[in-house]
Amino acid sequence: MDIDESDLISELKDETRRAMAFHILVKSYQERLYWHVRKIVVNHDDTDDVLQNVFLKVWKSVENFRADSSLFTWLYRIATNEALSFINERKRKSHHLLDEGSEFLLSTLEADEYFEGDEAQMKLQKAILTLPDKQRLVFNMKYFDEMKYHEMAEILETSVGALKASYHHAVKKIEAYIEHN
Amino acid sequence: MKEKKEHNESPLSQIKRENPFGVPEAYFDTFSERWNSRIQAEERPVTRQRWLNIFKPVVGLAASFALVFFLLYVPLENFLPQIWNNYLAKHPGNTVQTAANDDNYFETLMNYQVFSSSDDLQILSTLNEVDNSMAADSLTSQQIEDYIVMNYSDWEIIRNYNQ
Repeated sequence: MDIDESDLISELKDETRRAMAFHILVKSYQERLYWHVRKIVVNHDDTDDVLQNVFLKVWKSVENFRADSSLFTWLYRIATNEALSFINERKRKSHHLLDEGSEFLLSTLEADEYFEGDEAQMKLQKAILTLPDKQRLVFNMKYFDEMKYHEMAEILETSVGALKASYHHAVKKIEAYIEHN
Repeated sequence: MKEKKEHNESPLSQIKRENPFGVPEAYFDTFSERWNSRIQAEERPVTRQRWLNIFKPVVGLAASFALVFFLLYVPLENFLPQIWNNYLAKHPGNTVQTAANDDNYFETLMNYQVFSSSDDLQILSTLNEVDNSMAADSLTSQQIEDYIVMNYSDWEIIRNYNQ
């Protein structure tokens, strides 16, 4: 769906046209945001919950959106924060807060009825789950979404250099995991 | 370029670089509708809660007044008359006559009105006016008796005497 972002923002700020504009926003970004969240929380149902919360948050705060960054960046930032909060909450509840390996995410992956990949892809996903949250995020955004470093830097509010270093470390760890498993 | 070269030589290059996850059928087609239902459900309680927030203090205040009234009224209504009656039983002289429809009370009231203007001091004052030469303290019983007989009827005298 081709939309002019600035037009969409002005319609979102207009109370009389907000509902229609928001419908367009959801339709335009739902898929990209879904996959971004799905790679973080792994499970489909959890992703659905998080994504609904993301749009709910956007709905409630869109009036105050100051357009310091693009709508796309703002949405990705909200989705990232919501997804990370969700898994941290899950870790806290299952007493896995200090477990960087995210055992509960691994069991979620193995039980995922919507996983359609082959064995090698399952191994890659397991390798990704061994990474710390930030490296996992960076790896997914770069490797699968092929996002530019400067876009990632804006979303994650960090430097391009730090992102490159994170990605490099992530790749090394994943290669090591694949070779040894 | 360098990155791609690195990937081609690494174990990662042997794995298909595609998203291995799937979604339920028509998930993205129905997401928008489901989200709309959710936002409507989220907004409904907010409106109800806004009204609750407005009326909660008023209802709370009214309930407090009702509670205080109940706590004071019930004991006073039930126990105070009993205490008052016990007090009156111990101190009968303090009875307050309030029975306005009582015949005795009316009669007493009328007698009071008749004789209120004829107490001793007024009689003495009148006598002094009649005879300035006579001092009030030098009046004899006979003089007072004569004055009463001249100015009041027998009925009034008898009524006063009985009183």
